[in-house]
Amino acid sequence: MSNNTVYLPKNLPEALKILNNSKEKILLLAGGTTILINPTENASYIELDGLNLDYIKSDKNNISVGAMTTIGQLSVWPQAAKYWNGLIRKCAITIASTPNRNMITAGGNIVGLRPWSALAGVLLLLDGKIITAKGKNYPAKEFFSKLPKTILGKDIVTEIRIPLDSKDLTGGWKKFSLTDTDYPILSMGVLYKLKNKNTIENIKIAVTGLTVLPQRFIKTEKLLKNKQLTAHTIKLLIKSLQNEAVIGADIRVASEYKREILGAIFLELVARKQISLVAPR
Amino acid sequence: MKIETTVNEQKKELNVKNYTEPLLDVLRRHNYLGAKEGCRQGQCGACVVLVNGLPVNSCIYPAGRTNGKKITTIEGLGKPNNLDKIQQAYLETGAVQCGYCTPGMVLSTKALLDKNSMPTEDEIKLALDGNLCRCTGYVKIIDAVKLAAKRYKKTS
Repeated sequence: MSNNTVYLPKNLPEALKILNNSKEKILLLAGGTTILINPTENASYIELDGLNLDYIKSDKNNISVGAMTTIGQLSVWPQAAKYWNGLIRKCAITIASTPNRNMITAGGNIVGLRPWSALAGVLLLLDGKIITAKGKNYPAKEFFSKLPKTILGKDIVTEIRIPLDSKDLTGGWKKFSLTDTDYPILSMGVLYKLKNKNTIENIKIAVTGLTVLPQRFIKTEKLLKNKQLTAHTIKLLIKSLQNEAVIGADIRVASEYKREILGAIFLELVARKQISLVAPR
Repeated sequence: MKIETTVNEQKKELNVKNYTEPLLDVLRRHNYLGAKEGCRQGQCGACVVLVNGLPVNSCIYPAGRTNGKKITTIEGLGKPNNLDKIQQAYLETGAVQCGYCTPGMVLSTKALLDKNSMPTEDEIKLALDGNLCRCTGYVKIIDAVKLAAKRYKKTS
């Protein structure tokens, strides 16, 4: 790695200036995990550590997470267990391992889009926003419509912002991998609100790991609205979910396997509990 | 380049080949040999050290970033004739076989117990989820952490 120059800007405007004025290949050094495993030859780096981008703040409308906040910091943030039925914490602890969570940053996780980039799914699920150094404010839906690096160009993610929810949501986050230490085959997040014990008032579903980009399941969400969760409707909904999924090639498993897992995880996150309320045993 | 850091509570000036040289290589070159090279992919935890009290995989941690920070390696805990409480607990419960993963395990345990001296079994498993052991099957390691927790007095 001796060919790699590392710039150490003192502040964000300086970092942005280096990024925009440089004619060489230049990469941002966030958590550093990917760069150290797969160093890029003849590239320079801009160090983002020390630019005061590691913070978590909340006000009455949003939580704001600095891009250099580690997934570890996010997982132990007390409010992470309080909002969205604890979804952020449930998701954070499925990303990589404890030592790596202390290195992987929120910004790196959503821009790099690796198999463990579950935070991207959370942002999509919770209709989050991505804020940049140039003052852009991207809704997650737009930011993850193509590769974030393409969308960003020579800009730097500085913050992710997530709107606070109503408190009566149920749901969770589930990672599925072939072994405990393997990268996820897929990860799914679901949040929903019930009325009359087993009727879905509204629901949000997001999945990472099916393709590079995270996916929201808008058609299935609409189909689920005001549906009573019986064994029969659950079967139809799983079918809808499997049909809506866009699944890319994965050397580890076949697409059909992923489709089946998608249904199984959905069943676990949403339906199993609810079906038992209405289905004959 | 040189970085000024604190290793095991002693101020040190470490020679670093370049900013992104893995911390593991720098430590081992400076004779901190407790951190082991395993996968070099941040997957096995054999190289775990603490940076500002948090476990990180030193094989994928840029050494330049430790400038001004505190590093704890296994050499900073007990000595062979005066083991740290965690090391003693690992020894007594038979949680060590080949010993290659043990420095990382012990340091991950220290990071856990420094923050939470009464962890549940699930919290122990979560804290050690980045440390792989191919000998013990983990049961005795979890026993060791439980024993250490009983004896542990929060020091930070």
